Amino acid sequence: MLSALIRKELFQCSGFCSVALIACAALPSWLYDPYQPDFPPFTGGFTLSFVGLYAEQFDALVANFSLVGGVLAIVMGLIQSAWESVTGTWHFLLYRPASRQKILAIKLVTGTCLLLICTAIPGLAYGIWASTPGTHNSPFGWDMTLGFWQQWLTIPILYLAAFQTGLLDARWYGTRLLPVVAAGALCVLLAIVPHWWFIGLPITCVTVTVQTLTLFHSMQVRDFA
Amino acid sequence: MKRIIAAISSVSLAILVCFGAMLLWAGLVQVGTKAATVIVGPAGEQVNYSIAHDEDSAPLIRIDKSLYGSATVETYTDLNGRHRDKPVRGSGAFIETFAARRQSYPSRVKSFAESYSPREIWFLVHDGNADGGCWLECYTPGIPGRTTCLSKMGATQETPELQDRFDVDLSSWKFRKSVGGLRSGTLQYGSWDLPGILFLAANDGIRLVNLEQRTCTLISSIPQGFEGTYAGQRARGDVPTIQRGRRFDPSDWHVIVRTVDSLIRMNLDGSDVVRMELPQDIRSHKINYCETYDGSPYLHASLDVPVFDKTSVRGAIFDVNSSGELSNRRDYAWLNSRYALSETADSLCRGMEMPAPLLTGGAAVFSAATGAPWSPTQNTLRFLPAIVSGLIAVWFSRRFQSKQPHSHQVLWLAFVACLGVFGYIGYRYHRRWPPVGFRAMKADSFAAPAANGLEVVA
Repeated sequence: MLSALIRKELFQCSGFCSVALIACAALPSWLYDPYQPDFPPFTGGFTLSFVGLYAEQFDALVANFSLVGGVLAIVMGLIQSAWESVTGTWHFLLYRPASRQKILAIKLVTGTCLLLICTAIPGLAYGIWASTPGTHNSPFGWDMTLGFWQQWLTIPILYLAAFQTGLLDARWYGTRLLPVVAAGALCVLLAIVPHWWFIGLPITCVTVTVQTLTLFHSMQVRDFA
Repeated sequence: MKRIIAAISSVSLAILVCFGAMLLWAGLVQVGTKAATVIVGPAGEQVNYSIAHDEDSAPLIRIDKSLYGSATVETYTDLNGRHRDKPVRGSGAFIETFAARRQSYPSRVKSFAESYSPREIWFLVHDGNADGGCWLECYTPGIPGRTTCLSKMGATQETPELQDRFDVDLSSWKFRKSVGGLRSGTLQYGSWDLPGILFLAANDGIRLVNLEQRTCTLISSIPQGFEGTYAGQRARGDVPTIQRGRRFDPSDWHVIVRTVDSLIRMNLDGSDVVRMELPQDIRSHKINYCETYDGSPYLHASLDVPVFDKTSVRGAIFDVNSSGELSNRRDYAWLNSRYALSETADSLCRGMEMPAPLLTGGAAVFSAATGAPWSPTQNTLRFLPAIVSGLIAVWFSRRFQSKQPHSHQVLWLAFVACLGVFGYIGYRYHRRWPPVGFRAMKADSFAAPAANGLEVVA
């Protein structure tokens, strides 16, 4: 039953993950500037920190990877929670011989792993491309990618907030989406916080822990009738 | 344990809903403020003062007056306020060099985009270590990888050893790896840029790097910390060399170095050093060093403090003699207009953005701690919406609690009082409440039925 539930979650989310990966794969050609072939590519009108000519501003490609990752996190969170209510699948799931906590844990672990893998692939591929000599006219070191991985680590906050939104008993046009708004603002704040490993990482860990606790509590007390 | 988890869950959900609503509201207020500013438009005449020079190299005050959207009218006075005619543009022109205080590292390195080689891209790269250094890397499109490195010892193919790197603190380095890209034809800052020349201010001195010739020369070892450097063209009586042929002649140029307490002017070969010690009260100012064609320099210090729709400007002008001593100090002060909200409008907008007593109090404490305490007007207009919001929220909460009794009512009231109306939204909508008037059944709510003899007693 465990593997069946995992397969069901993977099947449910894999389509959205594929779309996100295709979008990320299309981004380089969209951001490439053919009129400045000597420049390191993907400037998108901005200066770059990852692979770039100038520094101090963000990399348009990495910023768009994070944007796609954020949207994917929200969609996956909503699909795994609210969509089950829309299609009535919660009743089917809760009728299985497994506790609510176990069903939620399977959903969260599967969803988080899938999300983190999908959002890591573009950054990893970009890094491998950038570290290959002759692909661009600028220096590169893997420590330049730290900003990307920091943003990558904050993506679960959005996913859990969207999942929570799906479990909330509120109107869609009212207060239901507010947790996603707050989590999105927190992610933006974490992207610019200084000394990330000392400030951003603890905040991320505490937030994810509290969000997980809240989800398990909401799952326990929610009336699915 | 379950009760603790339930409490954490409730509060965290309420906080998420509260801050989500607050952010949406803040966005609405921001958009509304911008729209109102555009529709109404900044009112009144804008007046800006600045320092200019006349044909005889004497400093003037230039006054620009304009109404929003209309042409600017410029007039001139001397330092005593007497009207002067507009100086003929270009005549008696000064070569003005600028050395701001506490520049970030990229500003301390002047990057030049030149045409000596249109196929080269240069980067200044730091090794990322606190006790490390940086070097220059050159890339040529079409050739994989870097084509050369430049360090204190000149050009190499390999990454320079630690002792050969330019001694630049990582604390003044804003970037992770690359900074100060140089590419022909892309960083055209103006006629002051030098072709293929870079001035590098490191901890052990200023170096002149010639990218075209791949050389690196120490031109000055100044024992005090640099705050800024600038390469200025030597004043000449004709069109500047750089505009004529874009050729680099070291004798045409000098370097201005700003240190904590002085300004130092020198030739590119490190000779003819003139040290100008700055008076204590202008060391935090922006300093402009100006040199006339007849070789008589003067120094102009100014400090701009923007306060809402005004910028308070004060400064002083000094003559500089050949040994670098400052004399003939002339102080000035004025208020420039800015297209910004007035103190009243700005305070009210900020107060309305996040009307939460806890956040407003936090902002006030933070502002005071950072040396910018709020004025009485700001205090009043920023706290007023927060307090009103808190009171309204508490009243709504009490009304709700009277209809819907539940546990921890006082703690929720405190939550709502701290976060205002948005705290109430978080409190009220973070969970589903039972229907109004619903009372949970308790065992003692039922009266035992009267015995009728049919009871089965086990």
